[in-house]
Amino acid sequence: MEEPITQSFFSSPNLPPEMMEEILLRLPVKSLKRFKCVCTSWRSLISEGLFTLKHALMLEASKATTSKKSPYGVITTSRYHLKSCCVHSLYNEPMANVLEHDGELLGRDYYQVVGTCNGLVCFHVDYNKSFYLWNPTIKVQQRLPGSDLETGDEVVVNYGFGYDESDDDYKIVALLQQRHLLKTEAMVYSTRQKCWRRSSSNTCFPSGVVLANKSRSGIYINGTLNWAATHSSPSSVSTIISYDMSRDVFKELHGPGCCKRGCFTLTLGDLRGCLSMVCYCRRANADVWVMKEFGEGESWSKLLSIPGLTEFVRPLWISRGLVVLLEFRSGLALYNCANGKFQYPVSDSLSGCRDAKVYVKTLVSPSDL
Amino acid sequence: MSKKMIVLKSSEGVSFVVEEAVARQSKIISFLVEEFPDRELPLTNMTSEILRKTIEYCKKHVVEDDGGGDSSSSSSGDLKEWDVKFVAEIDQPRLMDLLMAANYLDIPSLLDVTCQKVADTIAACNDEKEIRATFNIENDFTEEEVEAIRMENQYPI
Repeated sequence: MEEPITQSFFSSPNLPPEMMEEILLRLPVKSLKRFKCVCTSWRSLISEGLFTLKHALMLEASKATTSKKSPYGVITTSRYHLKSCCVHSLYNEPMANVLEHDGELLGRDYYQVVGTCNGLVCFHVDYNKSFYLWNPTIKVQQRLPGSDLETGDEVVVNYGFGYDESDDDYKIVALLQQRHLLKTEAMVYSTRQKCWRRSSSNTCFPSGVVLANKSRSGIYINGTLNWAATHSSPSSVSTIISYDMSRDVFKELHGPGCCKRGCFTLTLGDLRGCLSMVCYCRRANADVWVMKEFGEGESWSKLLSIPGLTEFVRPLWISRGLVVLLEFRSGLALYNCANGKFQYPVSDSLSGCRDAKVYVKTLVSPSDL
Repeated sequence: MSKKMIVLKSSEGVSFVVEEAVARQSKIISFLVEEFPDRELPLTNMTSEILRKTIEYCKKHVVEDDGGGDSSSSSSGDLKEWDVKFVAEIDQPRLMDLLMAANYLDIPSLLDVTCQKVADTIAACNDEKEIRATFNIENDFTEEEVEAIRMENQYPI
């Protein structure tokens, strides 16, 4: 029945297992799940935790260069609902295929999406003050034990979520800011240790720096979490506070050079793996800057400028054809840099949403951490 | 200034004269050239056909170091298109040989494009049977195991 068409590569004894891994690492989750049943060696490889992590890291790393949109999704929250949509669908389909996840989730309440990393979405639920990790792709969810954190009324809290490669540990960072003291304290939750601890004293958050109101959650780039902030003196000089997940240290990054008087620079984002910043120049237009080499202040460059836009906007994705997906007016918008065409909303079922974040579609399971 | 040439020899004993800068994209050749300068390098597990293809790829990807150093984004886009065309024109068995050659010679970018092409071929298959037929893989599962995996995959993605 089945004729051996060619001398087979996969069954050949010359094929090193790492070659098979190299190939399978380049498949999307959908194919990996479907094709586990090809043979036993494929199944055991695809089920390995290390393979899953490598696959996730590869997708995260290829965000900047790939022309494929299918392994990426957008997760949004509108108070009591979490919704997701494929980036590809938002760009290409007249009716974007939006999924509602309410039924799948425990801890139903006011959701705050803290961040995404390696396909995991970290969200905070108000009523029990707990954090949850959830992989929307494989629909596995886990409440993080011991993650509830009591904070006083006089404290403003900003969170961030990311991966510490040196410890193979997913961590949540909480920045607790005493409103009147200009003092910020950092707490770190480790999913391995399952507890919060104070960040050590020699690594502390720079004094006299205040987080920008709209910065909310930290932006995870290159093993660091980043928040927009301002110096209290000299007054209102904007800066970026960057926390290194592995080394447990804070440092300041330079913002783009354009930030002179009359510019507001409060919105940081992750634009295909690059740290992005939106500057509202002279209240006339929104300029999107990206830091091409992370940590290199010289590498900031202006990617695009949206004339006439002075409202809050955060770029989420950009296509090769220079069409930008934006978080805008409690929803999503597409802006075409070539012809200036602005499409809003992209999908009616996503209106009322905020905290939009791009995630990669991976097999990383929160219950295996 | 004349460019330095080196000689690579295929399994059939055919010699290929290549610019050193072109061949040095292979980390192995780069190492061998340093260790054994002025010697022709025998690549006994590569056929002339595959070696010719590999050289063609390396020629296209050699970084022109003529002082200009202006690598615009459009040219990297063109290169990507060239890569896609390059692997699209190769049939399945030769693609596998080329992949093995890229691994053996340690040429990361060629390994990436060939692996991606194979992955795309797998992703385009309708079911596991088609994959087994295309790549001649033996189904070593029992009926029960196949059923168990099906149950795991109930939910859609």
